[in-house]
Amino acid sequence: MKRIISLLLALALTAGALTGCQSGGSDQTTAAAVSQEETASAGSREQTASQAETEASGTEDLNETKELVLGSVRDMIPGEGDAFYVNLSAGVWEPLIYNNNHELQPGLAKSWSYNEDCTEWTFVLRDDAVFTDGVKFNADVCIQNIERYKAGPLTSTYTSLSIDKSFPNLSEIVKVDDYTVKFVFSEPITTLDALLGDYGSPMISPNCFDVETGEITSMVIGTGPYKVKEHVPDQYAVFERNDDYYGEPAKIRQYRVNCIPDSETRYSALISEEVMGLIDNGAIMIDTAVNLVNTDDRFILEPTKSHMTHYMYVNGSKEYLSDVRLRQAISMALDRDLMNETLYSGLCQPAYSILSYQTPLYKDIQGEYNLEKAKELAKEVLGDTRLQTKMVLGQRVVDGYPVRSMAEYIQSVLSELGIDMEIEIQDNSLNTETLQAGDYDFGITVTGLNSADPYSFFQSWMASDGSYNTQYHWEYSNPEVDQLLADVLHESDPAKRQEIYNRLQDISAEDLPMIPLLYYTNVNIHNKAITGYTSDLYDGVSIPTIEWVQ
Amino acid sequence: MGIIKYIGKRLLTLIPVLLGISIIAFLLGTSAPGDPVEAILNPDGTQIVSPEEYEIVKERLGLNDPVPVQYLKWLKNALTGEFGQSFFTNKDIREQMAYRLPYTIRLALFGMALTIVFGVGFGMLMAIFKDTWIDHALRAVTTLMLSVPGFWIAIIMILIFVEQLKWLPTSGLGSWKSYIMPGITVCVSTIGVCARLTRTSVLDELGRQYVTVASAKGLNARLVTIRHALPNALIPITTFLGNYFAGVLGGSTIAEVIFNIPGIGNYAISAVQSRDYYVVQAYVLFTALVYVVVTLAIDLLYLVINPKIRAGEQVE
Repeated sequence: MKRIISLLLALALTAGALTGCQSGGSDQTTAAAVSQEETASAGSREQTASQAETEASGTEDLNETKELVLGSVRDMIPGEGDAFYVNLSAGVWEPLIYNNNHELQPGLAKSWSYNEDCTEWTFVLRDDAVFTDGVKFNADVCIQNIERYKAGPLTSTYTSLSIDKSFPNLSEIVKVDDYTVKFVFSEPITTLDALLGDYGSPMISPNCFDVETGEITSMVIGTGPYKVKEHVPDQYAVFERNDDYYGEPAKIRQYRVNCIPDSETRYSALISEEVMGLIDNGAIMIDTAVNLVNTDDRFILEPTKSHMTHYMYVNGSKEYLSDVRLRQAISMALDRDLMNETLYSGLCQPAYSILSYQTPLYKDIQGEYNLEKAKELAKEVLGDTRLQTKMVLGQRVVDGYPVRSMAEYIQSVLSELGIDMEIEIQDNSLNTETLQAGDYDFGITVTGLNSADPYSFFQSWMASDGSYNTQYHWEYSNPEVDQLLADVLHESDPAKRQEIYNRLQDISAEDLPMIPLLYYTNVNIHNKAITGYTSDLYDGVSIPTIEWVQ
Repeated sequence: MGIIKYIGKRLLTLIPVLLGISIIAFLLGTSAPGDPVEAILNPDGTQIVSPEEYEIVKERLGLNDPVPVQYLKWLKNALTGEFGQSFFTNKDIREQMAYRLPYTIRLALFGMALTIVFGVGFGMLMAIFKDTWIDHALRAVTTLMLSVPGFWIAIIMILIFVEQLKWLPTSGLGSWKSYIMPGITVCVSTIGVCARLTRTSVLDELGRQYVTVASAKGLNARLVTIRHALPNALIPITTFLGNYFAGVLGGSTIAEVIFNIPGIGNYAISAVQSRDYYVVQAYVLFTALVYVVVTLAIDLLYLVINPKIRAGEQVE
């Protein structure tokens, strides 16, 4: 027996030695990876955290000594090959204009104006912004950056970047003086500032990109409140405060974002205080966050409006579903308050307007829940026929939101209207193909606005020739909508634009080309050890305002 | 000389195998539903993609070419070790594979070490102490191990060692501690299978005539087991462990995703989700290569473990 135990022990020691050797190799590989990304050497995550905590003891300012660790769904630094290299919310690079919850605010452009026919836009740039490599931001650098967009579309995990997307019909860029740039367009453009918000106008040091290919060739260098200190791809990224930042300095000297793609693991990381907060869309389900806050007083929830909205697609090319009365019956039969309370603990908001409630252009339209009236309307259309239908759901929305339960609720409601509905969950790509083939009756999507200007959203969803409208077989057509969309494109008066968008929202609530269900909410959950956890970006957490509770 | 000829012959058979696999993988990738251009330009489903942008990106990716042309272009580059760039991240696939492979290898070795220690160890104990309480207890444990799914073990370990005890990190690869939970996840059911296989093989050998003769000559029973029966019993175990190792090298997807290990399996899953079929293609070729090489290595290992096989080879 002793000899057998000795044999097993020897085997265990050999295995331990083997693993130990491999651990040694681990550091080398990690260092190589970091070198690949031109970052500093990679240290142990735990080691750094514990060192930081040790340093934090005593009466020192925690913001200066203790590293903040956050958890994210994706790597904050997609790196080389990505049009932006690093997520905007990291605070490394800055755009000309910020889209703060769809309100446009100055970024590296202090102010902007346009001529009467909206063919010339003049931007006055900040004269105190300096990139972290010492290069001063000015008109020349701004123009070089915009020249870079011409190599696009440059792809990214966030959104693509191209000259046609940010500066459509641009014919000339004129340097007026060192801090003033004028853009001349061949066609009037009324909402250039909206197109340039956030990911529409990234400004980075000319030392880190190739103008010809548009690619970022080394670690991105920006003018923002933070700079990249260390990055291990798909593991974590460490950011350090830019002490030469021209604006309000970031509160915390150093923060780290751990990439944790699995939702259960992210949740555990929060519970175990391995991370102090979760960032990124879909980092935690609302009901999970609410349960956690209700059962564990270490955590706090700070809900903010999201630009994401839940919609129900209706295939307008199918018999009966093209009838607006049936779509109205379906909308009226859905108890949005019940869905909100049951699925989102009441944190979301019932949606009746097509436009996100986060944008200032949103019009508050209240709909009606009336099951009896809905049944009557459905009866007018269907008579005694029972409609056999299929709802298709993409895996993306099923994974990110409780859409499956929502679909089951809709299934039960529709059966009362004489509509039998089966539910099919599909891989995302298959779902897109099914929608494009028109092989469905209903669908649910959760989507948002990709710019502060909702024109492209309305155009693709409601115009007779709109891309989504035609591709997904909604077959919605309304001459008034087409005319309004043609008008708004050339309307430079913001008040008149607002009127047009109000009218479009009224029409959408009446005609229901698709049925709005709920406006989503960002949950922003974090440990009470930190504060200042606000969402003042386009659905992102503002990291420079976060600080330790002293 | 015979061995070298044998290896050469085996390596030559690799060429049609890999070619066939690459064609099948490519055709599966291109015929699967989904559009890589759409996935690139509309990654989160909230973007409006203009037809102009769509066409530029499609042309840039070479997706306007007929499928056979796309395949031949890819194959030409693959022969020189170039797998091209990922559609989705624009990163060089060879570099990405090289970056991720060490993580997967480390995890595979860790799992392999645990499997050898506990799988073979438990199996030996069960065989030696057949029908005693040790045998019964270990059989119960190994049955439990092989019937519990890896992801469940992962979740339970996270609950205990991360949320409650706070001994281990949830994810990442900061230190050796980070390998404990993923290592156990990838090998727990394999340990169960390996232990049972070892028990059966060793007992099978112990029932053979040479063991009876050795015992009759007065040799110590444990010596007979370890020095004579075990080497013979190791042949099926080696085959099993080799296949397991190849499987983990091909990507222990569940463990890599749950514990965020940036290995090959994690890479493949992301690529499949984004219809990044150049990456999928490279991954399939890599795993095929791993399986063929590991199978060859196992065959060569037989020669070392059991000289009778070598003798047979020479006779041929």
